[in-house]
Amino acid sequence: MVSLDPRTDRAEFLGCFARVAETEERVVKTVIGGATAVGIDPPSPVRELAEACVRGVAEHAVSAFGSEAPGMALGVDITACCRDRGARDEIYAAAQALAPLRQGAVEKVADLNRVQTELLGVHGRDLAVVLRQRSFRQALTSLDDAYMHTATSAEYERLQSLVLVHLQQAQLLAGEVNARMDFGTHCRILGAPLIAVQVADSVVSSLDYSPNSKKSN
Amino acid sequence: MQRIALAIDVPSLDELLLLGALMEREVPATVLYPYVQPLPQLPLQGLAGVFNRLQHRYRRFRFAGYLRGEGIPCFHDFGVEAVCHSKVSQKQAFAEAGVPTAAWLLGEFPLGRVDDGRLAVDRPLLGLLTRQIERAVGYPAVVKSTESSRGSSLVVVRDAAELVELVLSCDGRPSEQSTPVPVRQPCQPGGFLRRGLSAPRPGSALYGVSRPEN
Repeated sequence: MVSLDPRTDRAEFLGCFARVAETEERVVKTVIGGATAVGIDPPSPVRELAEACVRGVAEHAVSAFGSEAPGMALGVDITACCRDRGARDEIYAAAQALAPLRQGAVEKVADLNRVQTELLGVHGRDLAVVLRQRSFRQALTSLDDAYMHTATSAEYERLQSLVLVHLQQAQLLAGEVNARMDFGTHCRILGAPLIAVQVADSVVSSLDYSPNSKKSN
Repeated sequence: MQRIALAIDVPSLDELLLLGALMEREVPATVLYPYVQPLPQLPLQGLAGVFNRLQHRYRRFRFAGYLRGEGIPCFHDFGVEAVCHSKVSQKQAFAEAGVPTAAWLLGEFPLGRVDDGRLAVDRPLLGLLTRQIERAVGYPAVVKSTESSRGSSLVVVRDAAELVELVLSCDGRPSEQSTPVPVRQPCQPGGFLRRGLSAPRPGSALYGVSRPEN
């Protein structure tokens, strides 16, 4: 996840997680589609490729669609091609070992979604009121605890280290960019600071700077 | 700092956290529901800008265009959404930036009109598509719809026969007559994602991406 600040033309690397399948046959395109998410601090080639993708989007937005210094925070999908079948099997096995632990967090996500839906129904989509509700805060804390339980396990650390080792040799290919990345649930696995705070900072900085805004005129 | 608005259709945890983060910074923030309230009635006056968080890619793209027309600054402005909206525009942006991608091909969904005006799979076009993918991408290939998101409408085809089987399983109904299926299950090769391809828009396109070899 990378933000681009038009004020400074600085790209900021917000965080990264690897999406891992559990078998060779499964194609896991998204976390919601069943991929295991593992927070990683990736090697510089991954960071550089992600930044190049975001800068490419910015340049194309300007040249093809007439944007002026657009600010953005994008999720960048990068495919890491690992040609070694043995290495891939090692990663699948580690992901399988993590699956039972992951289940606790998945259930907490479902609990949180249920609480959130109920509160939104009661409070007529007033998000500020929902944020203040004790039941919402409790569900969020339970989710954080469940993620922490997963992320501090030996199984998680093993998968994390295997991914990092194999990333060193992998061929990296840009896949897609996503303008509406999910930072609420999946990114919690990355720990603090939460991505929402960094995205909010990007939004404020970009809109405050925007060439069309009254403030900068 | 003037007010910042979050534009939302389906409120999720992301939007709640984002609003919370803005409130903690004492940034005046408000929420817009452009698909609940008619666009001319949206309270856009006095806004520093809008963070466009509509869930559906096409809605975000359209709303960003509306905001540009109204002169309202938007985080992820129209140009950014236009690039992100189309996988083909993304590939063009990557190519211009010299960013490596998997081999890919844009192919027209092989639909044609039959005698009674219905849309149906055009077999000669389908044959052409299988050969194009063979040449440009190779099998196994990942086949997607150009405007899909969240992993929907994504199928792995191992060979040309599987691609033919996949396309023939589509009934050719235009998407306006059918409901998109949300992705809630693991992606299996040739599995449920076929439903994503069963509702092609007339004139829609597919593209194939090579899958790393075993």
